[in-house]
Amino acid sequence: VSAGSGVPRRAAAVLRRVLPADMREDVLADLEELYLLRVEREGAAGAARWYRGQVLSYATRFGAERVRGALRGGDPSAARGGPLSVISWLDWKLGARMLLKHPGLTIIGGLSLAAAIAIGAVGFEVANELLYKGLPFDEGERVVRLETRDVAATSSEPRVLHDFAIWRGALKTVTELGAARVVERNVLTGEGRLEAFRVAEMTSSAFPLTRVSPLLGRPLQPADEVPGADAVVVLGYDVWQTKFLGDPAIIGRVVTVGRIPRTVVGVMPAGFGFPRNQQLWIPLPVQDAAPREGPPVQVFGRLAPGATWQAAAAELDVVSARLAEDHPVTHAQLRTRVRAFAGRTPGDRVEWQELVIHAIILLVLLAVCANVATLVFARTAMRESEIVVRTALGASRTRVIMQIVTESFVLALAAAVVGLVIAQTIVRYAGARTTLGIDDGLPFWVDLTLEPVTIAYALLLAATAAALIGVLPALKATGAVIRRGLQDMTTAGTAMKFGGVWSFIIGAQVAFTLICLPAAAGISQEFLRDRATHSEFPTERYLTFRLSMDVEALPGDDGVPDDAEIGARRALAFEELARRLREEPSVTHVTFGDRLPAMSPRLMPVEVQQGTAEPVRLQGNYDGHIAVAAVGVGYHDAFEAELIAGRVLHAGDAGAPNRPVLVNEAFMREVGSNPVGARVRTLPRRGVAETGPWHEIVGVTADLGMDPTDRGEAEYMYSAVSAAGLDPLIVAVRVAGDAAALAPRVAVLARQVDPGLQLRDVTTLRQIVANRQMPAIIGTSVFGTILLIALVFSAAGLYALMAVAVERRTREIGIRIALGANPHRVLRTVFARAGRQLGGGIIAGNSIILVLTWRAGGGIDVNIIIALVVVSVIMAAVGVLACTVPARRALRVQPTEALRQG
Amino acid sequence: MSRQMLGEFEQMVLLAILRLRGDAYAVPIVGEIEARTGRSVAPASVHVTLRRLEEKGLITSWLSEPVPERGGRARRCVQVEPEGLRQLRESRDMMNALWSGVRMTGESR
Repeated sequence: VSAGSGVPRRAAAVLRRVLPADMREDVLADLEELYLLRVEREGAAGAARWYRGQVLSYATRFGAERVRGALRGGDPSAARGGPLSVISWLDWKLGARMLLKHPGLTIIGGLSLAAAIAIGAVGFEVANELLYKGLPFDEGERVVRLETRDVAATSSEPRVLHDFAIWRGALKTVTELGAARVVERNVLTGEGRLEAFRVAEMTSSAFPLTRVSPLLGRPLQPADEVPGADAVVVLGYDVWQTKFLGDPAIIGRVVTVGRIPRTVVGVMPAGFGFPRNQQLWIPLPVQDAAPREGPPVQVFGRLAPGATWQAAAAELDVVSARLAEDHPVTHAQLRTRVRAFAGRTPGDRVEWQELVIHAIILLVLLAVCANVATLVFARTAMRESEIVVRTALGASRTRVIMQIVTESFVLALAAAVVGLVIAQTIVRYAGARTTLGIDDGLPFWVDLTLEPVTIAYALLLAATAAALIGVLPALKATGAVIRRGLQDMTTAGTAMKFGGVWSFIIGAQVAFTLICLPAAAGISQEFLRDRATHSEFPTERYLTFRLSMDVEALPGDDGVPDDAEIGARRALAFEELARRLREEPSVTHVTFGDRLPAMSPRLMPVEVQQGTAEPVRLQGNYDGHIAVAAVGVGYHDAFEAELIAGRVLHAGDAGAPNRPVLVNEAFMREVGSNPVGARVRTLPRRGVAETGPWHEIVGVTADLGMDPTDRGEAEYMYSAVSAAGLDPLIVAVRVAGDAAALAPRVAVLARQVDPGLQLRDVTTLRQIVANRQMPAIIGTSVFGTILLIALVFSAAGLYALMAVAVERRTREIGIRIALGANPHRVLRTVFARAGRQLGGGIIAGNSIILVLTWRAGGGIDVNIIIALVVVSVIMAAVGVLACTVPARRALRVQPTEALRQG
Repeated sequence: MSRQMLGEFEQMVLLAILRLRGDAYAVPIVGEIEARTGRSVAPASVHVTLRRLEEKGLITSWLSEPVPERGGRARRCVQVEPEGLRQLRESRDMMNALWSGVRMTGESR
């Protein structure tokens, strides 16, 4: 750039880099000359703006060429030829313009693609976060957990404190071994409020293992674990910020955790929640425990430098074998494996479910793409003359194909942006809901924002979609047709044929819609039926909460809490709380159980013995299982379940030698007679090795509908339990008005009764039902939306394709009319073809779904027939409409006009 | 007849070169096309097209004497070769053939 010309320097420097050497000086000089002319005309600022715009224009034309040249490792100027070299900036602009010009295609096609891409992105993100994501620590992928299982009982064995001490001394391939358990504690927070928290009792070795330094103060240290050491606590960032308002002088403050005042010694940085999502850490007192005794703990460590996964597994096998030799009674059945703490353990087989996710995503995308391709083809067909003229003016076939594909790419890219926004919203929303639903919440390393790899995946899906929806129509539109088009241009009209492939696609589209829609309708209907199940008793009148006693509230003689004492204390506290609640004017009933109606049932196989007959295994509705629940006195009364036969459960039934139980009507129906007096017991199943004791059936109650999905058809057995024998108690308080209003009062009363009482998840039964139904609601809305989109989409695709097919016959129809043909006859030929396509699709779709339903064993449901008929009629109506409009137009064309169209 | 046909913009550039009669280089070509067609033209398009036409052998270029107004730099001047003229003529004939007998609505015969 010559001195003093005033050309924007930075832009000129960019231009210099972008341009090929052989034309660099010429272009710079020419552009400078044009710039100076502009300065005279519109001033320096306008000219500078123009210059920058021109630099961008050169950059898009030559930059891509340079990149391609660099990729091929050759001279950039030699990088010509190949399909990519014919994509120009103009194609992108044209693509964007096409989006605006065909709003129907943009909206319908774009939204469908966006939905498919959103489904893909959500699936990928969730799978990635939950299955593959490792710990966000330095070398986090080498952090392992030691998982012990009882192979005989096929259950995990977390009582491994005894083994932990041995592993610590023996293992060489896994170092920095630590253990933790999560306990619930009432914590007196900064504002003097008592709140229940999940606190991690953790060995101090866990902190160096994570290689995360505290934000303030220090982590736990070995000295803190020594009996008699000062009681300390380390806070998480969120607790420090929200409960102690980020107090900078927090170190040294005393916080009461449970009943013990503890000095804050450190604050961990934001995002740290090891081992799961804890925000408070206290030392784990590692006492000597007998084999398979002591509290359940989680054991973790880090692979030693240089140690492989295989070496660690082999060493663990050796140590386990030695343990089994030393303790044959307890350890013969135990197997300990080394697993990645989070994410994938190297060497694990890829589970088929993981592949299924991608297969489903691809299938959805394919189905959507088939539809969008139909629309794109219809649009391309309308532009046939444009394509012919472009070819006549010198555009190569590759050039035209790349233009159409680029247009599809613009559409897919726009769809990807929308899809990603939808996906992010879904992931956030579902994440927030899941956190409410899962007791121990999501792990701290799960992040509810889309990862870059997910965005890349979505873009890959978009690129695949663009290729799918662009290439076939483009090939079809530029094939032999063009040559014919060129030859025929002066004599005939259009040349592009709607041949067999497209007839097939029309038929297939109709069939596909017919297959999908009733299936989707059926599933939605199931969901809706589930939703309707629970309107039988007034869920909004029940306030529920989980009640337990802080273990530290009552230390035994040796410092280890005694279960019996805690139980007795809990029962006393509950009785007192219940008494005070009943004194509240609005409260009518207070009861408890290990679960309430609308909570997930516990399923067991059972057998029944009537009199002296042989016990009979009961075939319950849950895969041969029946649901069992332990309930307190007055449970069925509180939920308005009538007594059908026998008696209700009394206070004395818990712990009575005959172990009385109540069963429901469905149970009675399954047995076939009044079961009062019969005996029932649970049988072994996965995770439960032993056969349960015999229970005597003392009464039959009406069906309660414990589970939203049981529809009153599930067999239930209710055993009696006392407040001392159940931890935690799930309490239900029935209120005459709105139960939510009672929540603050319950918290106040509980504190008055016993500060050691822990109250969690205080909410109404309605809310619990709503949370449980959330997947169903989301499912119904998602299915409903997909249903609607699929229908609209199929209809639009069908309409477009058929309308174009008829419109292209305008000339033929006009000439026939001109030659004196009967309009009805002409119309008949138009509709005959459409009828064949539609009819073929409708017959195929209906046959497939009827055969599938029949093969599935279930009878053919009336609802399915109705759905099939409705969808068939809609499809046929759309098809007829698509033919009628252009056909009427064709009939109105003047014969002379029709002849001239050629 | 050559299989390769001239593009619309290629035709415009060739015609502009012919109209400029020996003084043709990118800057006046841009001006000529803008003035005659009333459309704004990106210089980058002109440079790309000139390069392509030269590669096809339809035009040739040479450097002029240094020009003081351009900071002492030369201009890359261009001229149309006989092959370029031939293809231009072919394109015109083809378009004429296409247009012959075509009457657009609202136009007098």
